[in-house]
Amino acid sequence: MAGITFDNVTKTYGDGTRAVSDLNLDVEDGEFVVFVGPSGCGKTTALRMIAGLEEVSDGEIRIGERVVNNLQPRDRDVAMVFQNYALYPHMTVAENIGFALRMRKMSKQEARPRIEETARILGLVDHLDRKPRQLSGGQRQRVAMGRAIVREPQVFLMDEPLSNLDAKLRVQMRAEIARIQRQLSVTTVYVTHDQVEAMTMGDRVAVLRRGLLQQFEPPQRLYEQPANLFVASFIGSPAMNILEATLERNGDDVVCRVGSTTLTLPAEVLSARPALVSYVGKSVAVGIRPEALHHSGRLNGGSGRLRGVVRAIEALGPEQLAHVEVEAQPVLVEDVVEGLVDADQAEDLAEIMTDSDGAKAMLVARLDASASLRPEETVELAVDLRKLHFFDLESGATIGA
Amino acid sequence: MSGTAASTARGEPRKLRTTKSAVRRHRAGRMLTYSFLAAVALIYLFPFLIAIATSFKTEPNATANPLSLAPSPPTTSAFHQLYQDQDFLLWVKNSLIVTLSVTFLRVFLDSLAGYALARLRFRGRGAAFATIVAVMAVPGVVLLIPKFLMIRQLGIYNTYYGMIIPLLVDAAGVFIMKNFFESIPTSVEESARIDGAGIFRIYWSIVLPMARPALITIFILAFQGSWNELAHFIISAQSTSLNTLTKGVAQLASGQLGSGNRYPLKLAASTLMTIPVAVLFFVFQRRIMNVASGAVKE
Amino acid sequence: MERSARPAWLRLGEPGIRGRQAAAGWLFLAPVIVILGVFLVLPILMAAWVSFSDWSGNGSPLGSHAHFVGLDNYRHLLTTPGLDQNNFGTSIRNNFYYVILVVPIQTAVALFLAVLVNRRVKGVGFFRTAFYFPSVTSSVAITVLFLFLFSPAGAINKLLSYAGVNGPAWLYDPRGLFHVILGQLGVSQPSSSLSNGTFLGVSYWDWLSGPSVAMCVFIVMAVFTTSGTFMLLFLAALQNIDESVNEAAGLDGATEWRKFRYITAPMIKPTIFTVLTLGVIGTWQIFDQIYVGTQGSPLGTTLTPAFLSFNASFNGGEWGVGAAVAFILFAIIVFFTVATRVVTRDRDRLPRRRRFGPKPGGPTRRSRVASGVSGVQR
Repeated sequence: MAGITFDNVTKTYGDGTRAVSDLNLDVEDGEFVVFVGPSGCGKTTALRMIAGLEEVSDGEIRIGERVVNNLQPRDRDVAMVFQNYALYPHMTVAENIGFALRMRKMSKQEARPRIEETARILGLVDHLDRKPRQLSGGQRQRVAMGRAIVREPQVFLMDEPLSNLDAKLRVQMRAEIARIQRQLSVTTVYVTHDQVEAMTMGDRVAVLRRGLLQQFEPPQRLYEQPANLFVASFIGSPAMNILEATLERNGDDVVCRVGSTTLTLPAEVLSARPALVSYVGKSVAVGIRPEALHHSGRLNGGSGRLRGVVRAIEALGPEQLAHVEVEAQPVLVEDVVEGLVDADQAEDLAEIMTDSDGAKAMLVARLDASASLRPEETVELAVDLRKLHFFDLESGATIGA
Repeated sequence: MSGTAASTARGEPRKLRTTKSAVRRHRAGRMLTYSFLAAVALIYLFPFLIAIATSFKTEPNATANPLSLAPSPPTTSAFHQLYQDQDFLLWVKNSLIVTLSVTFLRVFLDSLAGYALARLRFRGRGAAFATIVAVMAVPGVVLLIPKFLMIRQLGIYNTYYGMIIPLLVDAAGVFIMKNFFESIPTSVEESARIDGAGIFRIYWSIVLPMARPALITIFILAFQGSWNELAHFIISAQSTSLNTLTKGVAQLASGQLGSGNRYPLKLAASTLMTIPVAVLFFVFQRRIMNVASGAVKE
Repeated sequence: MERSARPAWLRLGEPGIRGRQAAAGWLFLAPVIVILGVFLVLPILMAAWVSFSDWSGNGSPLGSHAHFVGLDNYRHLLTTPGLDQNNFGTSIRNNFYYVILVVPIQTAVALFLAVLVNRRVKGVGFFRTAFYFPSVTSSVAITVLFLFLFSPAGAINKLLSYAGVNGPAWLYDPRGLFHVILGQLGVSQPSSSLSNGTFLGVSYWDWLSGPSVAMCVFIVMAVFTTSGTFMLLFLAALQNIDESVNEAAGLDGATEWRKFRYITAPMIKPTIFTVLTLGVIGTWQIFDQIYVGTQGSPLGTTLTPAFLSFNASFNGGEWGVGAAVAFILFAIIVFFTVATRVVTRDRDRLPRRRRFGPKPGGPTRRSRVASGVSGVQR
């Protein structure tokens, strides 16, 4: 058991590209940490550096107290589950699992019970004599896990182990993996591009983008207090609605003008974000999560409401997602778009961009199923002002303290 | 890379030793690979360097200093002898005639057969293919006498026909073309058919131009194969006026042309003989090595 | 392949597209089929006839100059003591040693080279080209080159002299390798049983001679020329192995050598079998090099069945014998090819002794059968 430390770690390739830039990160002993981000963000590279499959260009990686930069993978006492499982095709399940033990010259007598126990944990006892090609995808994935578990290493590394499974199996295996990790309490670093996976599995989640660490906190904090536009846009599904707004003074109040709507910011919002005051008179990005929008009947006047036209409705059983077109300027900087890379919202944005003659943005609101909406109907959405997020338009950083 | 401070913030000493020795081990491994590669490459290439060098040596020099790469004195007398005393140019001419004929004909015939096997539907297609493969599995050497008998029987012994025609069968080439044609989407041919093109026209004007990569492959393999062929020329012709380079040099070497110990002459001949194939190889290395490793990408 | 419901044979006479396709199909195939028939199939039949005849080369073998003699030629080669049998036995012996030395060595060398050039080092393409180059040259050129290198005062002996070793006269040295080794160990005279008993006209003692020193030159030549081709086959197989499997093995604690032994080698087994089979087929046919180089000398120790077949026919006029040798050689090649395949067949079908799995319910047929057949080496 050991923690993992990234100390100013950088990875540069021969042609100059920096896969990882100055990464500083501490994984606690026994913690389940997820590295998440869009493709090319460096998460897999970082993981492979822990394993020793990539060389560290600069900085140090420590496992426990040991600096492992120049240790061979086999000397690091880490186990890895690969995205494509990397099972030994010519060996049976039992031999696959037992290979590492064999490399450590463990006797058959000693190894067999360990293999059987691992197989039991993973439900593979009936398959011990099969070859990988005779197994289903899910079974192969479990063999890959078995290979890692049986070694009782200091660290588990997982490189998108579930991405080759179908959706339902994925959900099932997510729970399995989390359960096993808790049972064995081995320090685990898990890489995925799926933010839902990250949020449901990790004790803490590290969001990476283009080799740089954006934020490293427990999932809930990432959700409620994203550090910048990218994290705000990336975490959460459907993604946060991000609009351009101007902050103005209206007497004693600070108001936020979004398109044709003016939202008066309550005092608690201002006191929680002192820095906001310095942005008065300037444009900022304001973020509104879909669940921060509520249906407020039709055409009632009052502040704190956004008016728009319902363009699409997605019924999800207990709730519905309403796509509402409002008069406001969407924030389409890279930070936001890259964060949307997995969602359909990028598509919507593109559509709007091409056929808008005034500034229009498509908001997604998460509403109760009982709210009856009809397409092309004009509605008013009440905004929960306490849940607004504000971002600096240039740097993308959250405007907070 | 790793710092030189003796302790971390937590007050534990770092394992500096592991760092340095691991780096050394890594570089040593790379050095080992390179030195192996270089050593083996030397073993593989040095003989050819000797061959080239010896072609420019005098006979006494070749006998006295067989290992040296520097002729002393350097001379082109071996080449002159090839030209004057031996029928070297005649051999070149014969080799060219045979090789170019075999190469172009093979390209044509293999593509025809490959196309038929790949695209045209007719009874017995599978059997035809199986036969081709099966018959070509017969070891070549076993066929020396049989081929001779037939060539003699047909009266084409000691003629170019006898040297060229039997070499036109090439199961490997048919295989390559068949595989290639199967990999082209049928939509191109189908649209040509709708436009009214007949089968041969489709083959000739539509599909064949698309097959250029595979055709080049066949060309190269056929050229190499027929240029380097020896046994077939031994059994298909006897007259020295039909000697190809391989046969001529073989007779030089085995002393049939009364050459005795004349190494510079023989090595000059074999070096010159290798040049066309070598050039072809260097130009098309990647393609040749891809095919040889069993993967015809096109 | 045919999508229509009507059976294929009915469609041949159909007018329209299908019929024309059939006509075109056969037309396109015709040249290849015709040449195949005329120059491969028919000749084999002719030669078979000749092998049962006493034709001496005059006129046509199908005419009045050839008389049926039954199995005489084959008997001369296999059972009747005499020069023919002697030559044949000698050629078999020579070729046999050539095969069992060349095939393993060239396979090992090719594999070694493939592993070597499979690294991602700079300029590795140059090395691949260098190792493959000998395979591109003609057998004539290589033989001439080796005749020079291995001449008594040639480059190889010069090299050896630097190491203080007196090299033999190579292509003029008829001593069998094993005889030489036994001689070093003090055994220089065969026992009477070994020297009196014969098989195929060759004494048992002579069967144990190993390849002659002259033959060794050809062995080296074979490895030199074919290792490049097989290296490429192995290279393709190696590159088919996903890098992540090797990485996984590394994390599991395997050193480079163990990675190769337990992971890489088993995964390229099919290619190894292919190379072995191709090697066996190729080595039994060696002809060009003998023709150019030694023509069977010294003392018949480089005589091979292929050359014997050629020599007996073209130079000796004994076409029947020559043809018979060819067919016996064919049978030998088929035998050894099948034997290689059988010996190295994929043992996965047979139940394997489970090394790390739980024991079966009780003693079963499996554990007995599998005891010698474990696929994974220790």
